[in-house]
Amino acid sequence: MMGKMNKAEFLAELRRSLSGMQERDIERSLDYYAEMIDDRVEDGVTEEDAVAGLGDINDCVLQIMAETPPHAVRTVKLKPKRKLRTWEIVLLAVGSPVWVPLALAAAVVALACAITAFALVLSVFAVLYCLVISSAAVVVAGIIEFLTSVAIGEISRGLFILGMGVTAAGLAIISYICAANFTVFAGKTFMRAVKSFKRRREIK
Amino acid sequence: MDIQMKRGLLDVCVLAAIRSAPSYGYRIIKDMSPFVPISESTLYPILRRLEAAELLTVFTVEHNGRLRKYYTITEKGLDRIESFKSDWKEIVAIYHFVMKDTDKNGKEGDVDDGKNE
Repeated sequence: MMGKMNKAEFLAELRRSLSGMQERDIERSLDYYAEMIDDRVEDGVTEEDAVAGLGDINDCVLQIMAETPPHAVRTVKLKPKRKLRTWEIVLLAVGSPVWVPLALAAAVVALACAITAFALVLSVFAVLYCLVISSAAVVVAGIIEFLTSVAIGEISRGLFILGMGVTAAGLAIISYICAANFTVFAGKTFMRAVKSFKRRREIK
Repeated sequence: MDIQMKRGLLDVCVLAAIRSAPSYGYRIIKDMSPFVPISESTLYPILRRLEAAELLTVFTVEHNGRLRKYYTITEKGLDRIESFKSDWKEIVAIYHFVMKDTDKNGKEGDVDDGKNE
């Protein structure tokens, strides 16, 4: 135990004792004890008595240490969230004619890539669904043409057209299955991408 | 008192001290002192723990040209007080069981409280 300390001496001593801890935790506990001393003084006690009333400083230190979670220290070490230093801000400002256009260009390129990807997906959709529609049309046309051909007696021509119609029907079914599967796949991929993007932002 | 038990009880006491209105460190100590004397150094880790567990939140108010931290109870904090109330019945039952045993042995006779539940 030391003799009578004033507020500044007490806080300096506390800081010295806590020096191994994270700066954020040190600041927080110093703020707390400063507030406590000020409140005691405001209540009509002298500064020295207010400090003395806090009890043994070692006990204060032990209590602060007791509730500082070790995982907090580790997390902070993993993700150093420091403020920009003055020279870094100056460098950023001076370099802005260079890095701002570069960043803009990068953003535009990224946007172009995204649009291209979207267009590609869209074109696959277009091809598949066109196949579905046109094959279906050929089926209908084939049946009508077959009936008219038979009606006017040209059976061989009618059979040929019916064959084309049947082939088109097969094509229509296959392309329909492809289109449906592709739609489901594209939808799922898109949802997954959105979800993972959201999650990443939450972690940030 | 057993340190773990006291820890849990003090948590609830501090929550009770800020239940009706937000309060600051020194006032929490003063409000508690007639019932449960507590020192500044003991209060500090409790406040940190309760804040980390989201049983209370902290806001800062300027007071006489300095900053003062106010502590507000959360919904979760109110729940903790409620669960303490139901825990208490269990503790009283345990107390009676323990005292019944000592009564039989005739070692201690002062069953003076805990019965007004």
